[in-house]
Amino acid sequence: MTIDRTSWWWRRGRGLLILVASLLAAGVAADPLQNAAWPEVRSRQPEMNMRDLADNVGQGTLLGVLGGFRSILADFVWLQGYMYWEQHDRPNTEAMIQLATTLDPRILTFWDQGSSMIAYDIPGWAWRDHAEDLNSSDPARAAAAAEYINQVTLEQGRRGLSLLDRGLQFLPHNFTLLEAKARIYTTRLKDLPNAAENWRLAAAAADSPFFAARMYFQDLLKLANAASPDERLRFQRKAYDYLRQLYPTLPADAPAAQKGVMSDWLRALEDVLKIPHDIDPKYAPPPGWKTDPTQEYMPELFPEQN
Amino acid sequence: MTTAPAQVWQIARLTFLEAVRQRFFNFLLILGAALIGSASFFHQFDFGPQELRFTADFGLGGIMFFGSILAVVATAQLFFSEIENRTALTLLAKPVRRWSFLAGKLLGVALLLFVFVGLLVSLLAAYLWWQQGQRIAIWHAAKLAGEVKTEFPDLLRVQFVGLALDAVLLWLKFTVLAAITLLVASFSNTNLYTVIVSFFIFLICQLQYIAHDAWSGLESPILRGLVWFLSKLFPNFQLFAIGDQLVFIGKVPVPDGAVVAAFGYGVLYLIVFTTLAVGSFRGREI
Amino acid sequence: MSAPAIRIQHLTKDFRLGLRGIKLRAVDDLSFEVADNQVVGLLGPNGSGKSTTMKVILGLLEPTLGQCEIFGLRSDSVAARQLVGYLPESPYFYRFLSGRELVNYYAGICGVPQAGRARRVAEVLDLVGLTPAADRRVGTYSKGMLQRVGLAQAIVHDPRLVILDEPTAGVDPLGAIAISEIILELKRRGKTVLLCSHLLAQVEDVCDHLVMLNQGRLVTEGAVADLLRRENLTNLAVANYSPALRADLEALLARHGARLQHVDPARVALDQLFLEKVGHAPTKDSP
Repeated sequence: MTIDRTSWWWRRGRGLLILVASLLAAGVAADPLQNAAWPEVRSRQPEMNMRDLADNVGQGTLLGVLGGFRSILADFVWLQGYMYWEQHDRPNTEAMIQLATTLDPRILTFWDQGSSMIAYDIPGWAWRDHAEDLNSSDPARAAAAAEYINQVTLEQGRRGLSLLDRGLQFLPHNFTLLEAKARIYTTRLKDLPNAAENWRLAAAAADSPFFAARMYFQDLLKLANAASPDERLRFQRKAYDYLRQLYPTLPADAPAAQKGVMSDWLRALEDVLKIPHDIDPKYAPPPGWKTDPTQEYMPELFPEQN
Repeated sequence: MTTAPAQVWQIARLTFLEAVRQRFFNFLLILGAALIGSASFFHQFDFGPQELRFTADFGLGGIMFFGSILAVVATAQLFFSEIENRTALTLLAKPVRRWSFLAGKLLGVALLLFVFVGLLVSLLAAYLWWQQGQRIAIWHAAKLAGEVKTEFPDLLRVQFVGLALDAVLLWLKFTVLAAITLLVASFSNTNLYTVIVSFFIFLICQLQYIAHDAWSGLESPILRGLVWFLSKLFPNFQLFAIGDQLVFIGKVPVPDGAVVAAFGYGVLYLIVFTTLAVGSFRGREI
Repeated sequence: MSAPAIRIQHLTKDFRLGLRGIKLRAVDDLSFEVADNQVVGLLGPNGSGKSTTMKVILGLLEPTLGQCEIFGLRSDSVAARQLVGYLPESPYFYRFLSGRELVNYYAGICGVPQAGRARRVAEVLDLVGLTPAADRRVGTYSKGMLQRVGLAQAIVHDPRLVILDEPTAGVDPLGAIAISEIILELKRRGKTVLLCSHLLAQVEDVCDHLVMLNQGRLVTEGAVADLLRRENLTNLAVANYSPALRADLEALLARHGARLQHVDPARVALDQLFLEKVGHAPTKDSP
């Protein structure tokens, strides 16, 4: 069979073959360069490192299709979410929060403010919507309203936590998200153990403020108060050990560190646990510190002392 | 006879002059600038210290969006206007090599993209400079009040040298996209077809990294081979995102070698696509 | 003996149309030569292969068979294109440039040295009569001015062969005469001109040699005078003609074995009348 080398099929087919072969050769030649740079790109884009393949392809497709556009889209979706928030439109507010965080999971504010809207604002709307029932003279009606609001609060708290957990997959060990979790556990779900654990993680995050460690410490003491006598000692000891490893790291000249107050707590705990006061200079109170004799912050924490 | 590089430069210069007169370019430039300016609108949403990263992402995202459109549409438009108006006929009847004509066109578009990226990144940098100053002042006040322990973290500071490098990488990416468009134009009959196919290829290049990462994990040898093949056929445009990592210092700095490799990758594909376009254009009947 | 300006030997060009690859033969075994320093008219109806032949000469198309040389060089070589200047049909140029900038641009492309480029550009603009409008944008030019600036860019690098495709299409008679004069001036300067035009009167006036194509084949070629001469017939122009004179003329002619074929009143050419009525000789500023 003779080949008509002037035919369209021959000319185009030959051209296509040359094109494909050239691109393939280029791809192979470029491999060393790609392999040198790609791992650095990948490791710094959390949405490319999802464990779940489906998530990876989903996020990856979004990232690939939209590229740098996604941040603009995410921002406009976020604005849209704000509009729904102003209208107290729960489903659409939540939907826009989920969409904005999916489009651009790098933006901390989306996770932080989003969880706050879900966990705090939405129950607030429910409270306002049922304020009349709550204040009703009919006890059954008031009780039903209170129960409903309580359920909404718990449900929204859980949904807020779920959002924050998803955020921590993209922004691991992030102080703001861990703090938000701790506060939701404390104020919405009244779950002290999980609140304490999240304060601990928050305090360990880079650049966490001084108060995070104090919050963990205080939660340990609250857990001690709520526990059985045997367990109470264990929590108090845990709080004391934590304070001992924290105390030397606190600067004496930063008011926010409250080193003086912490030194009082150290002494108080030593008294409760019947441990001799440590005379090591690194555990000494800061220069010029005068203990408040009333120690008004103590009664809640050391009920047996008072 | 004039030298080929001199011809390339003359054609590039004229292409650039023609391009900057087009309303489309000026429209995109104004739109890009407006988008960067609109980042100040988000000020009221209080993103905290993350605001700088948000603004940088927003601005660079806008430049990426409009720059990609410009790279494809301007290249196709500048090429086909020469073909349709038959100025290509007049030019190629002169002692001009076909590769000089194409190289001149590409260089002209590259100059246009350089101006586009340069202007918008400069605007973004100026805004970030001002915004960072504000943020540092707020942080400093908080430090004096004892609310924070440290100075304004380096992790949150804009690295302006990194931003400049990111701009160069963006420009390189756009130029590779322009070379791809020129390759399509070299055998295409219409402007519209060229634009559509080029955007389609752009999309594939944006997603190529999924094939690159996925092929080794596949069990079926046929599927493995096919996905490997696809991953090698197109450049990985996500590689240029290494520039975004330079705008802010990460916990682990980006190695210089990786940045140089990304540049080399872009230059290699620029040469490949330009060469393929020249080869294709040689056989085109004007 | 120097190589001819154009030598085409057995030129055949086929175009493939569509996916089925239907072959269209635009030029079929064409051979002719154009000697140096001639003005040659390339004629033929639409679709006769004139444009295809010109594109092959300019190196813009590859022949399917045969070859084409410009002064002994392959027509598709860059060196050959250095010797050629081309004015396309209905020229379109970059509207935002001035006439001077446009010609300067092409001068640079063609390698006119930077040192004398401005002078050369001014020279050709003066030759084509565009000096007064040289600094206006090409976008503001009339049709005739576009043809003139097109001519200027074609000759700015002093080529040996100038190819003009419909140089007077859409141009008024004054402009057409001006362009004819430029063509004759080019010949006086030793150039070879290949002129493609449907205005046969103009071709007759300026061309030395004709090449006529039809359906891709050469129909006839030769010197204009030879091709247009009518054998065994001579025209006489007679003043004060009368019936008595006619009778005497017929008797005289019969004695010599000749015969009065027909008598027509003498006519002035339409373009001559146009010039007389317009009332002024063509100037360099006229469009």
